[in-house]
Amino acid sequence: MDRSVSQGLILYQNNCIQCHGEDGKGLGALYPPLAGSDYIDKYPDSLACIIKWGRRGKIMVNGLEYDQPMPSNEKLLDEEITHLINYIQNAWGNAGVYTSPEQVEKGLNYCN
Amino acid sequence: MKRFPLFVLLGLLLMVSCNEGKRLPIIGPRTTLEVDGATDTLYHSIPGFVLMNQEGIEITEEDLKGNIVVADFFFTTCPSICPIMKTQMLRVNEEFATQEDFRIISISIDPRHDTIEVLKDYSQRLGASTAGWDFLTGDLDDILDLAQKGFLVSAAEDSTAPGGYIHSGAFILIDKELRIRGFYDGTKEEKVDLLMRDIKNLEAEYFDS
Repeated sequence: MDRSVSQGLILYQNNCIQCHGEDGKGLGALYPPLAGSDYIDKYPDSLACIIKWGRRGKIMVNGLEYDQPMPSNEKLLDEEITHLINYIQNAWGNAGVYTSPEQVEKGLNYCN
Repeated sequence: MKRFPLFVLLGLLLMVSCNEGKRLPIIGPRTTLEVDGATDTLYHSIPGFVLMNQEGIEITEEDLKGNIVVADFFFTTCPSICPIMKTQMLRVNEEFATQEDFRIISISIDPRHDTIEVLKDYSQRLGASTAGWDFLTGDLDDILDLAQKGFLVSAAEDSTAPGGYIHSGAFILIDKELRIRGFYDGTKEEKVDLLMRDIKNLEAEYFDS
């Protein structure tokens, strides 16, 4: 599991760090935090679709409204998305839950 | 061995110690003019422009004169280099914002999307006091022209680039006479450190003169 998290860190640095920051705190009211995010706590299964397809429209995180489009990362494989989620869920004092490629693959069938 | 004249030594010492704080270069094409038998150098300077800021106020090159300016080109939906450029620009803003004669201008190269309202919302969401920081929009061709010919940086539409635009991540340092004094990679913290040091050197130039 730690290997997945370490691979996730590298993927995070290559794909996510510009907007969400090395400390996972995001940027102002432009890009939401991933560290201590109540959205991630409430909707952990939403991560796979958001990472793969990006997101448009308003989103509430920790009582603040964000409304910047997030670009997609369609080139990421299911396995890579798994590592990313495992990193995010275990970094910065986050929940510490793990997902698997099977769960991610299943979840990706239900993206809207 | 002959004794080296003392006053020559002292003279040399004085010369060396007075060279603290190297003068920043003046960047860009220049022309020399013959004026009454003497040659004068005409340096490249930021040309005239008319843009609107996030408050709907018209900003021209006249507003920049007399200020040390840091400029960059961006667009609000930029997924790649802009967020980190903004993080770095926030550092510059924090350090110099309270000073008079200092301004930051961030010019959008996607004015169709980045309207005054969008820029206003964006600047507020950035979360810093952006009083001396203008986010500018206007005519696309004017802006791309200004970027390439005025600020000497690349900026163009490119459907293959992430976000649809290709643009330089440079922070451009402009002096009080609209001349370009440096380019700094706004995506690299150590280069922005250099910029902040050079801003202080530039201020010192005016103080000494």
